[in-house]
Amino acid sequence: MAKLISTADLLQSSLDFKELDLKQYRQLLKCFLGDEVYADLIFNNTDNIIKELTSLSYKEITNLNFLDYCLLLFNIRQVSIGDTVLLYAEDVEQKQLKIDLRISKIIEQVTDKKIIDLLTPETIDQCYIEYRLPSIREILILEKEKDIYSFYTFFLKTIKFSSSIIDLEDYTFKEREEIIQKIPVKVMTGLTKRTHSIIEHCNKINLLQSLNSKSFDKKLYLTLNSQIIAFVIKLIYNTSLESIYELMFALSKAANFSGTFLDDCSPGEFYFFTKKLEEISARQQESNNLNAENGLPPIVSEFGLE
Amino acid sequence: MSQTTETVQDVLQLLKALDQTNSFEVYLPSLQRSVLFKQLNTEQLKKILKTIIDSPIHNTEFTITFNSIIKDNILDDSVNVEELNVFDKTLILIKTRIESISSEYTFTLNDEEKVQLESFKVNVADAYNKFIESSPIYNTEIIKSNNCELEISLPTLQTENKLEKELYKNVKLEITTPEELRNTIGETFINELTKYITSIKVNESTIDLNQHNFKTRIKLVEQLPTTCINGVLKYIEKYKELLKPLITHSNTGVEKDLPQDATFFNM
Repeated sequence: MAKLISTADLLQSSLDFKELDLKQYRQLLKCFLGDEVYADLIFNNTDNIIKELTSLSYKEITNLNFLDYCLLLFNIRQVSIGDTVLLYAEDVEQKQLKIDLRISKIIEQVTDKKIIDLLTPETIDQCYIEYRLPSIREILILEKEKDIYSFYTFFLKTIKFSSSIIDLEDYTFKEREEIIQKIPVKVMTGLTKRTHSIIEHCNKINLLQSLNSKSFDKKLYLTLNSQIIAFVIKLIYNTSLESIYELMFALSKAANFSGTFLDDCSPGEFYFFTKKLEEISARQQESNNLNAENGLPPIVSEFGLE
Repeated sequence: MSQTTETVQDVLQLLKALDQTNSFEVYLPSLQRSVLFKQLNTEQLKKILKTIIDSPIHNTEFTITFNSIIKDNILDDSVNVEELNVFDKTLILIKTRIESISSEYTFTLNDEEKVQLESFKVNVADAYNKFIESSPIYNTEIIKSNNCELEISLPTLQTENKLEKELYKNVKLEITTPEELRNTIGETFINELTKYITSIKVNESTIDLNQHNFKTRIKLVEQLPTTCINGVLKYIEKYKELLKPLITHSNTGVEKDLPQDATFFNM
């Protein structure tokens, strides 16, 4: 089946991606099974899925900054499944609420101009400093990091002075640590200040902001925490894996869809077919009830259903 | 490391070039001239901040750490760092703070001071520039009392390092009883005094104290007449007075001294 190619606008670039297919979606849903959020498992699988859907190499994917990584997954979700995520939550009076979370609103919030401003280079004491955001893999390292100064290496892209350029991304974590120890304190102070502003900004990105009302005041911040990022991915993609298997079975059995064909469908297309099947079944059931009342035989549907 | 054009060692060399570009001048009273210094790097600041856990009375860790930073950061090979004195060191300390961190310093106020003042911020660079305008100097002095003659001068970094390593390196950080406090203050008083005495001349024989270890020096100083000791105390007092316009700042009745320890580098 021909796959739609779309473009995701990331923070400072754009990237073409193919829509997700049902096989990949099932792979993802398997990582979400259970109440726990298994960050490593989720990221390993989202890495593989992104590799299949884009032209990025595995190295490029693991190097994507965490906001670009999330933006790419938000875009894939929007194109392949739809813009609306149906959530169930409790309101202030503990009544169950059915809420529609719009992916487009989340993308709007994440790509806010403020974060681009915070990544703007600056000159401190004749040093030209370029900033960056850490990747998901780096966040996993950051969470174990005890040396506060090493923490900041993940936010420093390059240092330029005189005719020299030091690109920190070319070095391993340990090497970066060694380099950062020798930079002037004023440069380090600039780096720490900017890092704190970036973290503060990210900690204010409430993904549920568009839903906020008097009856619903829950917040979900996109912080630099692997568990939270993995939870957000789970939140926007999750659905019942069991129901997907049941629907696949129904489509194969009742409408002769082949497993390969369904695997190649996007989740959006798959839901379209199941919806269509439900409509026809309902229509047919209605006709059969009418015919039975008039003593006529049941109709054989366009899907060969009785 | 993989696929990099420069090794980490190359990068560290490149950063050394940055030390030259970002260097700054410090006026050294003992030399009566300005000397170039490098800015602090992250590793050095980290070392300084680690000394916050230090003996509040002796400040040993900070003294040893900062003296070694002076050695690393001086860019003039002709200067013998060991011969620089505590006056030079104070100016290096303040200028390093100004150039590496900020020219502004905010004092920590206690509850009583907070009643008078909301916050107390000073421009250390202004005070420094004004202070060195007159090219301050503090010379060696001779104190005479009866048949005893003392040569007193500001302690050099070598003397300081020697004292810290010989006497204070292994002392207890925590003082738990009033008795311990009394002993420590008493010992510190005589130790500090000893740092300022470079030679003792009795009748015609001269003892160069720099040739002896601190335990011996202290024993000799303990035998000196009170008039000599008072002379040394006056010399120290005069030095402190000289430093006052640089160190002491007042605002709305609150008078505070710039700390000369790791807290001065706290951002």
